[in-house]
Amino acid sequence: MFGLILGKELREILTTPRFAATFAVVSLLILLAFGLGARNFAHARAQHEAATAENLRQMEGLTDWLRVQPSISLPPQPLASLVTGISNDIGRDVTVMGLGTLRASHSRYGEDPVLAVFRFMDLEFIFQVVLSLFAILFAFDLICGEKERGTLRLALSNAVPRSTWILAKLCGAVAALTLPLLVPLALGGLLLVANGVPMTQADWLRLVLVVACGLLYVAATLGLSVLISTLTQRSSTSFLISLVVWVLLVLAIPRSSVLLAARSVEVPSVEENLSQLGRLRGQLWSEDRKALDAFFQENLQVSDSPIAAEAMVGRFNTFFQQLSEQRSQALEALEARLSEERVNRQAAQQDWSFTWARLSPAAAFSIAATRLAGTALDLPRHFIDQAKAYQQTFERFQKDKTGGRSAGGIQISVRIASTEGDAPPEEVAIDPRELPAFDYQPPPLPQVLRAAAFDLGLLAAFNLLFFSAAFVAFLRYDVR
Amino acid sequence: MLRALIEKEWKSVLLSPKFAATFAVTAALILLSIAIGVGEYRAFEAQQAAGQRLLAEEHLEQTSWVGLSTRIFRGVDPLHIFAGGVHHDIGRLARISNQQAPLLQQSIYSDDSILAMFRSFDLSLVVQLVLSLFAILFTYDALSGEREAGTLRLMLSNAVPRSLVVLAKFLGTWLALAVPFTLPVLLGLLAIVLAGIPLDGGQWQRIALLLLASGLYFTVFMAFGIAVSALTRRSSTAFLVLLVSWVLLVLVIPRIGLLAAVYQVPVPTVAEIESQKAGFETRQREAYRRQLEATWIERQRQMAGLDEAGQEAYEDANLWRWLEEDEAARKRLETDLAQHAMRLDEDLRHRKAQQEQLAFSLSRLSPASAYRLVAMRIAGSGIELKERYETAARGYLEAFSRFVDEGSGGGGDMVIRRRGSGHRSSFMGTQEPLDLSDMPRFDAPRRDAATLVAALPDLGLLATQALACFAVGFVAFLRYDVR
Repeated sequence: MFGLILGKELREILTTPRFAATFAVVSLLILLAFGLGARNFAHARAQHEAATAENLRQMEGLTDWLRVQPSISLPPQPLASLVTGISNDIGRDVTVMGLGTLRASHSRYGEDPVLAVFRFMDLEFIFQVVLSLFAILFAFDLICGEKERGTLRLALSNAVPRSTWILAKLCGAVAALTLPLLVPLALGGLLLVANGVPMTQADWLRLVLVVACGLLYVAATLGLSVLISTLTQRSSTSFLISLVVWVLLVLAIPRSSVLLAARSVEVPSVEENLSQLGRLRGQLWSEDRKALDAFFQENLQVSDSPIAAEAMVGRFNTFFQQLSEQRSQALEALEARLSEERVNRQAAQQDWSFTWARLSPAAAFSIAATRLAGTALDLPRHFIDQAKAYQQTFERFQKDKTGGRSAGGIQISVRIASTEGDAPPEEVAIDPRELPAFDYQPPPLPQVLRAAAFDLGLLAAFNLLFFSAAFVAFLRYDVR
Repeated sequence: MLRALIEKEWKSVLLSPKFAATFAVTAALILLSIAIGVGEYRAFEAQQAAGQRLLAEEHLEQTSWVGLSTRIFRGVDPLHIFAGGVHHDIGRLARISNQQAPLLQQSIYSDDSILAMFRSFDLSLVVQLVLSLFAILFTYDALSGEREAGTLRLMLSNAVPRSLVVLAKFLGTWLALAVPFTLPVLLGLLAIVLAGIPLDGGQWQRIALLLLASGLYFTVFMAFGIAVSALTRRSSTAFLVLLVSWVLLVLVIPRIGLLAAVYQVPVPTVAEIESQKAGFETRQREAYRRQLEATWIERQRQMAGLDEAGQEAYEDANLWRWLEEDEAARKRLETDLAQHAMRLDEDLRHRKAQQEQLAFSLSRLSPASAYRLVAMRIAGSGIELKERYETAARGYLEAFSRFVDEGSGGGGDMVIRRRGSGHRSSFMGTQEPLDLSDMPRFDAPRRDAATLVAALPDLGLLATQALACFAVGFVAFLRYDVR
């Protein structure tokens, strides 16, 4: 009996012009999202490679590794093209100095505001806005529509328990809406392969989870719409309520959570921290200046022999190296303290905001999808942490190349002009290809899964809630 | 007759649950958007003021002209409450120093990325997404629905010209949607005034223009809805066609048109440009350093034949001139660097402008894009906002450089070692704080009337689209089979 009703329901949905039209549009959009994602990735990768190559090219002809300040940038990630998250909002480029604070600048939207005007059409957007709207379009008359047409009364006049009937109906609706989607989604995956987007196994797994999340979300919207349909008597009312609820869930609740978050916790501004750092730097520098002055008083009373001068330069370099290291340690300590404070408060702010936003399945989906794709709120921190690791690698490399010196933010050259000496010793050009490469690693899979688990569970709970509520409501439904 | 028809139409909508739901939702969303906008306005104002305070404190402690820098801050604009545009995406301040081009940095979204998670919410978005959706909801069954219900046949059996019927349909439903839009907006404006946000005459005009654009935009969708309703036999078909078109027009075409253009016109990234600048600078400085070295060797050589006293006398006689020569060489270097950077930036701006032009003309196929672009332009939050501030920042940098040059008298930290008599070091500046009270002030660039004139083509485009849709609906209804 269950199978019979399920089959009938599937046939009924799949053969309507409504289904044909929406399925065509949705397939087109999904394919577009994958196609544009692949295109966007290729574009971003070309830009990234051009910038990296240019950076290396500009180092050619230099003779001293101390003068090199490599600029690294966040490489485009395949999944970030499909689930953009905040990846276009954060600074991407970091200039690495041997020592000192690193700051990422040049966000993609900030540099190319033309992209920010309409933003991207990514998979997350298709699921969150378009597919959920179509889910409503399918489910709003599932129950009350049958009542209006009179078929519900007819069906229940047979020896069918209500519970079996509604269960088959719900399963049919979910299957009819989600299973066909797998076709364009799979084709989209093929599009990625065909376009040569380098997806690792972990990337595929994460993409599959994003899609699973999306389908759970669409099913939750469907469940909600069926619930509304079992609570109303007329399909036009049901549609109106569903639409209003959709607007609230997709637009109003997530966006108003930001209002709440901004008011709940005070977060020290980036500027405040920068200014504190700047002040400490100024203070340290004025102390260093005195030390430098004293150093010159002591050490410049030497004879004119080039050997003594060389020795003086050596002493100066050691002395200056010490100064820079002390300075950078003090700065780093302050910076670590300030950034920890900021991060903690941001986390508190995020908790507030997400708690409210999660009332809406759309927000839960967003949070889970961006976390799976590695484009959620912890992306900037993750990136800077890796940049810091690179900074240390580079510092070691620099010391290695220059015999123990690394540049501490400022460089002072002591040049000895000599009348006796001939031309200064021949300087050898550096080979920029020796520069260690920056290899960005997305957060490891287990960490990603843990971060997304809560929202995945939440989406499942929404499904359970809406479908069981629809089930119960139907048992008491007035079919007349 | 027309009046009676409009009245009937308007009443039938007014009494429907559709109207109540629309009214409630638009009112809630519009008021919410204004509440969020006012909150963000205040937060931005406080953030910028705090930044300026910090800057002033830093300047009070400043003791050296070397490396003196300042920052300029983007001003607040109450119009951004209604149409935020790229306000959150572009930097809110620019560092002004001789070492780098003044570019806007630290966008609101990059500093507080939590705000970027769900994006902002403003009146223009409510109009663009929600009001257009309701416009469709109001019109999809305007004609085909009446045919299905049989009332159309009844109405036309009276002595009513068809043209009047379709006109009344349009005007009646238009009024029914204009009310749930206008009332909350007026309420929101009142709230803004009560919240004490300063609005001058020019800004009120802009608000009025923005409301006009919003009105035109949902008129396009109403006319489109009526046209589709007049072209279909069944209201369910009309609804399906309209919803699919809505998704394409509002959600898809703007984004695709834009991306197509972005991939069409390649523009180098800022990182690439910065690398070019940095490379050029390193090379030039290296050349300058070598030149300086050679010059000093040459100078030493000139006095090689003299005895110690003679050398000292020669040095004393010439040292000042030498330093001046060196200083001139340094200035030449700085100018070269600045000019090179400017050329690169200019080129980048030019290419971006081309890209933007193509992108916007492609996406204007959709009334949603045209509306969004015109709303941003009226509110001064379009992409030209960045350009406007960066141009002003470049002008300010010149004034600032002159001020620093005059204040410091040129020159930098210096250590001179002399044979015999030891060394003299002169680090610029003393331990006394500098007097920066004469530092030129940065005035936020004003928008001129030209930006409003630039909004006219888009307004015209919206009006044309509305007229065209209405004409199609009108003609189609004249030939409509009412049976």
